[in-house]
Amino acid sequence: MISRSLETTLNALALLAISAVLGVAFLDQFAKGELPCPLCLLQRAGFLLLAIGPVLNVARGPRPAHYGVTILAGLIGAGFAMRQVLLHIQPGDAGYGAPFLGLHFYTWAFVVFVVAIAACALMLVLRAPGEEPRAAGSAPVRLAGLPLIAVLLVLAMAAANGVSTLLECGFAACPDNPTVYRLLQ
Amino acid sequence: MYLAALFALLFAALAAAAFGPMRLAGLLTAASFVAAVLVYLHHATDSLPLSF
Repeated sequence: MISRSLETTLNALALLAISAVLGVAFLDQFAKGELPCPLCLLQRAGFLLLAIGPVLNVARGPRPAHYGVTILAGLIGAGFAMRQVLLHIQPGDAGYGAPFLGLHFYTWAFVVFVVAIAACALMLVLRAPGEEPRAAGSAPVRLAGLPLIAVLLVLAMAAANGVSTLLECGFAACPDNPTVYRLLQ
Repeated sequence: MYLAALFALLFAALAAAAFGPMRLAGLLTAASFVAAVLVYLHHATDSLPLSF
């Protein structure tokens, strides 16, 4: 069994991991100049959906319902990623974008979403039984240290993705194969 | 446009989850889930090269 304080720390680390995943995607976008397609952007949105549960856990105390939110987000994100895997599953299809460590980003995304679902299941098994330290629906605690850094980093990733997407797509629907930042032309 | 709006909604949901009232966080979280699925359905129009 793991204590509530360790559980909170693990949730903060999960937020750092989500920020790292989004950071790698950004690095690829700017270093290699590969613009994300709409499905790629949806998978990034899936990672931010995935972050809501851990944010609730660090801000309001860990609760099973918060893990439920993360599991739902993991299922939706895995669905987004699986669609892109299936779009490129035929033999001879080169896939979308350059591979990263042998796999395309959408395949990695599917793996990460499945791992997140499994991690939630494990946390629900391992968390100590007993009453929750904070009542359901209670006001958030004053964040400090690692949890505060982790939350601010995820918020920065959400904001950066919003700005980058607006630059890429402009005020119209995003093209399937974007090649330029529309608002910068 | 839809995707940028989705990221803005997600930013608001995450900020509310961390610093806002629980009711607002719940509403924005639910809205984010629904919006993500709607944007997906808007873009997922190509048929998959699969046969079962």
